Amino acid sequence: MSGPAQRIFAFAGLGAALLLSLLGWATATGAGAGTEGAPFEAARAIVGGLCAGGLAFGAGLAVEGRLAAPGAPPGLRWGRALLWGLCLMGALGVVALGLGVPVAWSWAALVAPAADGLLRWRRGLCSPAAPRGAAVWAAVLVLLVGLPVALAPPTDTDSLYQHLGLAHRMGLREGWVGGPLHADGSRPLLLIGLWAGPLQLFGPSAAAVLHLGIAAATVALLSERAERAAGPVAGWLAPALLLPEYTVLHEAPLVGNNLPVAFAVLVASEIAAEGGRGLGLALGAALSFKYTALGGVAAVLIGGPLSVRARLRAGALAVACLCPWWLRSAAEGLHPLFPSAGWGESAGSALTFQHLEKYGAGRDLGSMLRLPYTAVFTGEPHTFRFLGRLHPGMAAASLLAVLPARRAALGSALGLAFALGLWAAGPQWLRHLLPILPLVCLQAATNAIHLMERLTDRPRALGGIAASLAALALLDAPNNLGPIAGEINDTVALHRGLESREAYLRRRVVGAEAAQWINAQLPAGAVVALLRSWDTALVDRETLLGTVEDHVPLRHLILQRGPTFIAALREAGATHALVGPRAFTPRAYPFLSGPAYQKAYGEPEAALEDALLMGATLLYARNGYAVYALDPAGTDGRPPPDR
Amino acid sequence: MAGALLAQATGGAPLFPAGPAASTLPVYALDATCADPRFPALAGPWAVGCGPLGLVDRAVFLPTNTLILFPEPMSSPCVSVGQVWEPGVADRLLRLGPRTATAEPAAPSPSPAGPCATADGLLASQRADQLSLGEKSGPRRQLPARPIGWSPLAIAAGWLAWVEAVAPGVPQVFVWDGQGAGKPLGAPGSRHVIGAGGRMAWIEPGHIARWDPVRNAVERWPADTGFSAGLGFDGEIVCWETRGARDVDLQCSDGLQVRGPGHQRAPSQWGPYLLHRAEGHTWLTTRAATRAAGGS
Repeated sequence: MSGPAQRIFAFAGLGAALLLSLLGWATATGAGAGTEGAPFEAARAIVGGLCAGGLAFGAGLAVEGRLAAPGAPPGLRWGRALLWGLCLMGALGVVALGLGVPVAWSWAALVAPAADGLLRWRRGLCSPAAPRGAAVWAAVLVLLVGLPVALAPPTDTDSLYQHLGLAHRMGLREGWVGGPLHADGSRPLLLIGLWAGPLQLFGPSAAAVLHLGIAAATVALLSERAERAAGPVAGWLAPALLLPEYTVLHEAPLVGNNLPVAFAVLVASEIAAEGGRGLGLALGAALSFKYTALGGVAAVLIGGPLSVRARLRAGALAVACLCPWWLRSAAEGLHPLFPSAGWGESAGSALTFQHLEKYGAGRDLGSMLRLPYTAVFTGEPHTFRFLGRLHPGMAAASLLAVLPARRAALGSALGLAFALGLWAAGPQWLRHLLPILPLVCLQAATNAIHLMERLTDRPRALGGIAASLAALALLDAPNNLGPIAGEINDTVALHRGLESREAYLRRRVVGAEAAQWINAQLPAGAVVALLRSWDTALVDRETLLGTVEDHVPLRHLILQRGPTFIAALREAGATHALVGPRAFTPRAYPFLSGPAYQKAYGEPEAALEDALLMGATLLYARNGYAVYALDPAGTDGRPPPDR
Repeated sequence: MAGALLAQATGGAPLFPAGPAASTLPVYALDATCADPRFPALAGPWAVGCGPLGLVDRAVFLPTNTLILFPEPMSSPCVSVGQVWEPGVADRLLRLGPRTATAEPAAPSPSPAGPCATADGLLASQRADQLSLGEKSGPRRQLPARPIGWSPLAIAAGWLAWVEAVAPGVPQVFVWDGQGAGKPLGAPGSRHVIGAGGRMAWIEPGHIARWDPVRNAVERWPADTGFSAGLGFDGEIVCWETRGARDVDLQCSDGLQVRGPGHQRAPSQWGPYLLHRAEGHTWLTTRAATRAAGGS
C-alpha cells in the first residue's frame, strides 16, 4: 500500500471510530437480540463487525509494537496484534459494563491506541504482512460459509443465555452481575466485555460477525503457521484438515468462546514456537475466555521450545490474569474457580453440576481407546453425546499429531496427547475440542510433510494425500457438511425478506414468543426471573437467575430455600418469572437411583410448580413457556392468611 | 374401551366433591398433559383433550363414554358445544357427534396470534393488531385492536370479547358487537373472559363478573382467583380455582366444591359436568342435580 493510501486509511479509520463512539454515546445501552427486523440489519451487522475488528486490530498493533523485541521480523505479528486488541477492547468493555456506561465510551478510549498503532504501521515500526495464498482462501471460505448464519438473529443457546445474554443483562442493569442469582456473571467476563460493544452499538448480529472474523483469523493464522513450519503444501493441508469439521463451521458464525479460545491458544503457541513477548498474557487470555483452554494451554507449555523458567513464568502470568475473577467470585460468596462448584454440599449433596455419564462414550480405558471410532461413527450434531460428529480426517489428524514423527516435535506430540486425554476425560463434547484443533491440524500437517519428505516419490505422495482428503470430505459430507448446508438454507427466507427477524426467532427458538410477549406486555420496570429459560438475550427487561447445565442455579435455589424460594426471588427484586418447559425425565439419568433422581430433579421440579401455583399469577402460557407475575404479598411462596 | 372410561377406579387419589350431590371419576383417555393449558375442556357433553404428544386430538362423548379420535391433531383450537375449530393455514372446523368427528370446510383465516373463539355459529380469531368475527363461510368483519395475545377470545349473543392492555401490565376486557368500535367492559385488571349460553364471565381483581348482553347487566361476586386458570362457565354456573393455605381447590357458583389431595385445577363447566385436572390426571365431576348461579 502506498504512503498516501495508508494515510487516508488511517485517518478514515480514526474518523469512523470517533463517529461510532459518538453514536454509541447517543444511543446509550440495551439492544435486545434480534428484534429490530429491518433489512438493513445485515449491512449494519457487517459494518459493526468490521468497525469492532478494525478498532481492536489498530489498538492491538500499538500494543504489539511495544511488546515486540527490537529487530523482530515483521510479518509475524498480525495474529498477536489482533489478540491484544480484542483483549484490550474486552477489558475496557468489562469496565464500561461495571460502571454502567455505554460500552461505546470504552471504544472511544481505544481511538488513541488505535491511532498510535496505525501510525506505527505507517512508519513501518510494526508491519503486519497481509496473509497470502492458502491463508486468504481459507479465511474467505469461512467468511462466505458463515456469513448467512452470522447475519441472522442469533438463536444458539449459549449465545442467548451467556455470551450475548450476560452482556445484554449487564447493559440493562447498568452494572456487573454476579453471585448465586447471576452465577454465569461470576465467570471471567473478558469476552462478554468484547461482545457488549457490537451488541449495544450495532445489534447482536454485529457480535456474530466479529466472532466470524475471529474464526477466519484463526484459520488464516493456522495456515500461515503451517506454511512457515513446513512449506506451502502444509499451508493448504492444515486448513483442509480443519474446515471439513462440522463443529468448526457450525461455531464460526455464532457468538461463542470456543473459537476465540482456539485463536488465543494458536497465538500463544506461535509466541512459544517463534519467540516474542506476551506468552503468559496470551495463555491468560485463553483461560479468561474459557477454562476449557486448559488443554491447549498445557499443550503450549509442554510442547513449546521453552526453558523451564519461561514455562513457569508464563504459567504464573496466565494464572495471575485469572486472579481478579477468582477474587471477585470469592467476595461474592462463590467458589473462586467456578461459581457452581461446591453447591452440591450446600444443597444436601443433591446437586451435581454436570453428570459426565450423560455425555460422551465412556471414560474407561477401552472407551477412551475407541473414541476416534465412536466420535466419527456415532456422533450426531443434535444429540448430547458429542454435540457434533468428528470428521474422519480430523480423527486421522489427531492420531498423526501425537505421532512423534521427528525429534523436534516430541514435546508438541506429548503436549497434544495430554490435551486430547484431558478432553477425553471430560464431557467429550466436540466443541470443547475446538481450542486444540488448530494445534492438532498444525502438528498433523507438519508431521505429514516431514514424513512425506522421506519418501522418494514426493509428487505421487502429495497427490495421494490430496485425493484422500477430497475423498474423505466428499464421503463424510452428509454427516459433517450436510448440517452446515441445512443451517445456511434455514436463513434463506430471512435474507430474501420473506420472513421477519421476529418470525425467524419464533421458529428457531421455542421460548422466543414468550420473550416477545414479555417485551410487548410487561411494564418497563419489570424484573424477570428466568426459570428453566435460556433466553436471557431475548428479554428486554432486567433479568435474574437464568440457567446453565441441568438448570443448576434454579435447582440450587430451590434445594436451599425450599418453598420460600419465590420469596427469595422477590427479595432480589423480581416482579415476574419466565418459566421454561419441564426439563427432566428419569430416562435421561439411568445412572441415578430412583430416590437420588427424585431428590435432585423430581422434587425441585415439583416444588417449582407448586410454588408458582401458590405464590404467583399466570399471565401467559404457550409452547411450554409461561410468564408469571410474582404475587407481591406472602413471604413463603404461600398466599397471605386473609386470602 | 371407551365405554369403560368413566367406570374405572379412582386410583388411590380420591377427590371429594361437596355441595350438590356429585361423583368424581378419572377420565383416563384424556390423561395426557396438553401443550395448551386450556385443555382438556368441555365442548358441551364432549370432553376434548390430548394424546401423548400433547396435541388436541380426541374427545370423549360423556353420556355414552365414547372416545372419538380427530382426523388430525390440533395445537391450540377453541371449542363450543359440539364444535372444535382451529384457524390458521389449515383451517379445520370439526363437528362432534356421539361417535365421530366430522371435518367441515371453513373460510380460511390468517395464522392467529392467540386463541380463537367459536359459539352460536360464529368464529373469531385474533392477530396482533386485528380481531376477526364472522360465520364459518362468508366474509369476516375486522376490528383494529391490540389483544394481549395468549388470552382467549369469547363470543356470546353475537358479541365478541377480548383482553387488551390499557397500560403496561394492566389488562382489561373489551367487547364488540360486530359493528362500530369496541368498548371496555370489565374493570382495569379484568381478564380470563369466557362466553357461553348467551352470557360472558370474566375475572377482575377480587371479583368474578358475569355480563348479560341482552339486559346489559353485570353481576359481580367476590372471589380471589385467576392466578392460574380461567373460569369454567356454561352461561349459568361459574366454577373457579381457589387458593387455600395448602393447595388449590375448585369452587362453583352452585355450591359445588372439589377438594382433595394436591391441587384441583383448570375447571371446565357444562351442565351437570365439571372437568378438571388433579395430580397429573383428568377428572370428571358429575352432578346429580344443578342449581343456578348466585351473584350480587
